Amino acid sequence: MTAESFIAICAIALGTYLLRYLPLRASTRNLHAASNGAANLNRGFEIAGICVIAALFLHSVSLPGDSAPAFAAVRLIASLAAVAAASRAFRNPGVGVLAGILCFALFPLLL
Amino acid sequence: MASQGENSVKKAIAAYFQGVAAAYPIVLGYLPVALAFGMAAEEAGLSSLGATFTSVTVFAGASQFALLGLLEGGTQIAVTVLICLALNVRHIVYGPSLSARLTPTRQKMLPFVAFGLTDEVFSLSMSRIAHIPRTRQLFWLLGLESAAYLTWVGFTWAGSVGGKLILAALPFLETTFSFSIPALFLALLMVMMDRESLVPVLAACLASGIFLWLQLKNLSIIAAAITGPTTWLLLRRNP
Repeated sequence: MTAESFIAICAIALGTYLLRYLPLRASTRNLHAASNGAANLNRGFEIAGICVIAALFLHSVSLPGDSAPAFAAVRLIASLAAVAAASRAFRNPGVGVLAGILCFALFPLLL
Repeated sequence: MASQGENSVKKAIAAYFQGVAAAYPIVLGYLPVALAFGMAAEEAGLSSLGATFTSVTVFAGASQFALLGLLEGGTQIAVTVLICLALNVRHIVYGPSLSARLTPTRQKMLPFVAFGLTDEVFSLSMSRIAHIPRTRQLFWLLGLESAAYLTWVGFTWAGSVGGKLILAALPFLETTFSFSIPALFLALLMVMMDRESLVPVLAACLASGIFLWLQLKNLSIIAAAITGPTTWLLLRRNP
């Protein structure tokens, strides 16, 4: 690890912490003074957060390179469907991830 | 009086461990992602110590992976920091959203609770914290966060130290690990998305997809963060 990497990691750590702490502190202090406008702003931020996660998903998804493209596409779609179904059913991201990984790992063995 | 105090301490400890127990889905989700991060960090030239240090201090998956890519690509440090923080800007909404369901009886605990407020902790706590007695909510949340944090740090270290050994023994795991990241984002999306956010998310995906197609990956995330709430606002004005 270089000195530059160390500085970058420390700056990201501090910035990330402040992004989490300052809004939490401010909102818990002003909880009782919350207006309709503030509630709308909160909801707007919440929607922005969900949209960023959707973009990160698009960013990260790609066909596995260890098999033929058609087979890789079917495997990917089936595993994503398993993630979506399990997450929705259990309202729990961890269970969804586990179901998807299991499906992704076992898919080549099933066919 | 003393037994009342002892009783409240016992209840706080019990709430903490209830939080630890409730964290099992996050632990399952973090395990492969943290291992993958440890391995990727080691391959990117960060030592095992560097990889673990990143997880200990940052504790934010998406920006940690982005950091690796940016360091490998030789991006300027200031730009690297800004891009990673831009990825974490969404965390701004977590505190205000959670505080609507939280009764912080102990303000001194907030700095500790804020550190562990990741995507997964946020979504899980949003769905369950209302069922926890008010005086014990922060202890429960701290338990949830501790389990998630220790898993993240521990398996980052394991991935950076023993990832190659694991892959040599089980080579199919490498492809499986590569799937854990999109799986995590999709799972979060499925848990957090509701009817009101569906159209804004689709609009954000469209905008993001256009930028990805144009090979402007970093702008694709910013485009989504702007397009989604704008669509939501337009829909509210013209239902």
